[in-house]
Amino acid sequence: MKLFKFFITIIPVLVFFSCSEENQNIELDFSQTDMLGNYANNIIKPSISDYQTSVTTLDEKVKAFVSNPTEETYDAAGSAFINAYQNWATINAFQYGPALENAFLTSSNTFPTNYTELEADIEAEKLNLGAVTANNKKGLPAVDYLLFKDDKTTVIEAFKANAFRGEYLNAVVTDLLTKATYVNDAWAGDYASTFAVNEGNDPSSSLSYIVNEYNKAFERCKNQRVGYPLGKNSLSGKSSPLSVEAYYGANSLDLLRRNITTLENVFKGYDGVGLDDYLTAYYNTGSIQEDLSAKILNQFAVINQKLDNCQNPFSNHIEAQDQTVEELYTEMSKLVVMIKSEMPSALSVKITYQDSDGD
Amino acid sequence: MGYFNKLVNKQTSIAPLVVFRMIFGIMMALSAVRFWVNGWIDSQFVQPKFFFHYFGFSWVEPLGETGMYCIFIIMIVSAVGIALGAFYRISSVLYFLTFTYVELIDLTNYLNHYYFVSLMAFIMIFLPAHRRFSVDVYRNPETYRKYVSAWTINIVRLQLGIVYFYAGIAKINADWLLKAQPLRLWLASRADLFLVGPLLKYKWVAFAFSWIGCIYDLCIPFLLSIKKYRGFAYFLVVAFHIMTAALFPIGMFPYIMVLSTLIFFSDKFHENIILFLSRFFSSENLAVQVKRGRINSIPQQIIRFCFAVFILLQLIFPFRYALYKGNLFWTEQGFRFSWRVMLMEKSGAATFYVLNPETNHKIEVNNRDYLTPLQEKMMATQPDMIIQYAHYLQSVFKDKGVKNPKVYIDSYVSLNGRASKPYIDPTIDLTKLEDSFAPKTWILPFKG
Repeated sequence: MKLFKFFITIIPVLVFFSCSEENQNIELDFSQTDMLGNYANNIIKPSISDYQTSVTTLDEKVKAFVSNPTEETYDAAGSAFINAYQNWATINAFQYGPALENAFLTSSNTFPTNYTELEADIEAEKLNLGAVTANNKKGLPAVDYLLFKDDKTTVIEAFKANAFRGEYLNAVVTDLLTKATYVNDAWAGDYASTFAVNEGNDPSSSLSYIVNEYNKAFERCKNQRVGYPLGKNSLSGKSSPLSVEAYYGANSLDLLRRNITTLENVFKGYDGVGLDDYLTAYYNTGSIQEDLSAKILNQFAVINQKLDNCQNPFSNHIEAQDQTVEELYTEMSKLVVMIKSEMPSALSVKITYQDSDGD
Repeated sequence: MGYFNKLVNKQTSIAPLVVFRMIFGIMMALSAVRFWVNGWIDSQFVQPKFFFHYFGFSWVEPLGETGMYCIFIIMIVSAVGIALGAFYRISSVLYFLTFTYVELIDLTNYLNHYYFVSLMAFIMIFLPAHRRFSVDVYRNPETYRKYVSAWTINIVRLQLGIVYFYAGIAKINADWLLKAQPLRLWLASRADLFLVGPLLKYKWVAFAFSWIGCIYDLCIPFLLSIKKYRGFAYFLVVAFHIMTAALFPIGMFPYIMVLSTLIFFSDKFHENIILFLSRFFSSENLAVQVKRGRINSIPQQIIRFCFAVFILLQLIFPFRYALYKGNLFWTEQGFRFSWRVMLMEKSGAATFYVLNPETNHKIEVNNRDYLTPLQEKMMATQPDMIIQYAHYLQSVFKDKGVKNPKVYIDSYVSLNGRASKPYIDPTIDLTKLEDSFAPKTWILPFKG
């Protein structure tokens, strides 16, 4: 029992000792709730709202074009589409919660679009966008194809010639709007506040959603927007320029830039508390040896510089498999190590509920 | 009677063993049910396309969906059989076989806790734990026994003691004691925890936890063995494991340990438990003539000798790492089966390239196409798994029509808060390597 008494005495002493020099002894000076609040209320909610608004406009303009295919209505629809696609790039990394429930990502942006099947469906006047197999015949890539597959006059003529083409486009846009509205309603409702208080680091914590989906979003940029088209993963190694995002409207480079800029901003928490501050707080305690936050931001700067070397249309770089795009790809790959391995490790983010006894 | 002889041969009450049998059986049955309910049978044994094998057990394969669920049914039923002491030998053999089989399927899921359960289940096969207060005795009253040789109880205590003591030895390293890593990283992330959360952001707390954890592991087997300190020691056991259960995702293990260590308590304590339980299950028939059984028969002698070897091996095996050069945590040569628990925060990123020698084209592999997220995470930091995966990729790409594919890796690993460093030699064709006990010279040196 002497041992017991010893412990009973020593604990208050230790607690007193720690409180007396509070600032020096503090390990981690960071509020996860502040960060989650910033992400939920200042970043995710408004971004999704902007996207929903832009898709609402797209819906209006496209329907105006379909009912009256003129050069004027076409231009309006086209620019509304480019705007909506740009906004999609800002919410790419937020595919959790209501977005996940609603298959937001796969239904809105599966590319490349399967234009042969899509044309066959229009030919057969078949419309079934609800099917699981329809993902590569709808969404933003399908709109890109339908609006920009040929030059302006040819496209307008095609819509005039076949009313079902317009019906199909309308349905695609309506589907986009339904999904966007569903997700937006959830975030505008209770979900943002639920998300903001869901602290911790287990697989269903908000931090885990943010970090894991952030990684997936970046890997989508690296793989789908650059790597696959470059032929990095193919047996033959041949490039497939048609596989880039927004091939027909030739917006690929702008969208890739917008995606990368957004991911950089999401990391920074835009103007508020973000993952960068969280990592810096850990770095300041000395429990991680490297200023990971600075390293990641520095790598973003390198990637941006490589992006600046690229020119429109991006598919030309891909087709040529030139040095510019190879370098871009290499630098993007380097960032993966930092955000997929080092960041989750430093922040103790879990990927599974499975029992663990250390790594 | 010498001290050692007393520990082995003294005739002592069977009660501690009987209570342990019930605890072990119930906890194992609950663990298996929990595993099932969490959907892990599906996610760990049905969904994956590829499984990482243990060295020497590459022939172990999962049985498919129906088969795996059947295995778990057998596991649960046999664990209940152990608890009830029903068809005890058959139950304990079946439990050991099914549990160990399931653990051998995928190296990804390796846990020291599972290793502990396999060892304990193996020991249980040979113990007369069913010879009182059991269905077997109810069916055959003449098998009842009041006393057993002390070793049958002491071996369980010894096994528990080894787990603690070796876990303590493993904690004697610079990262754990001098840097309080990985606890500093882990504890700071749990500031959301009820009651203790706010305390976890202090630096001294991580150091205190590290040192107390180490001293606790080293001392607890001895404190539990000494009558004078037993009560206090058990209080520490409960406090320690409740803390670890709250802080870390270690599942049933803390509860298993809290209940298992009851075996260190006295005969009288366990007699009272049985007496208490007898009020609800009146299987005790004390009028039956006690038969002494074959205490010193030849099979008994052989079993005792084999157990001596079994324990000796366990005492030596964890030190095999000393035969390898390099940092143990970095190379993980001799890391497993050594009670190294919660020692590392290790993470890595591994990109594989399949080179087609005919076209000289390097195909970048998307690991998600072949591995589950957990498999990918585990593989990236464990060299033997990297080799296995490379061989798997070789066969996959052969099937896809690449003749003589070569596999290369670009990999980085970070350990206990250090910056990530290159891990495996990127110039080596991994298909040329085979896993063995030989030193893995293709692991790049650790730069602390």
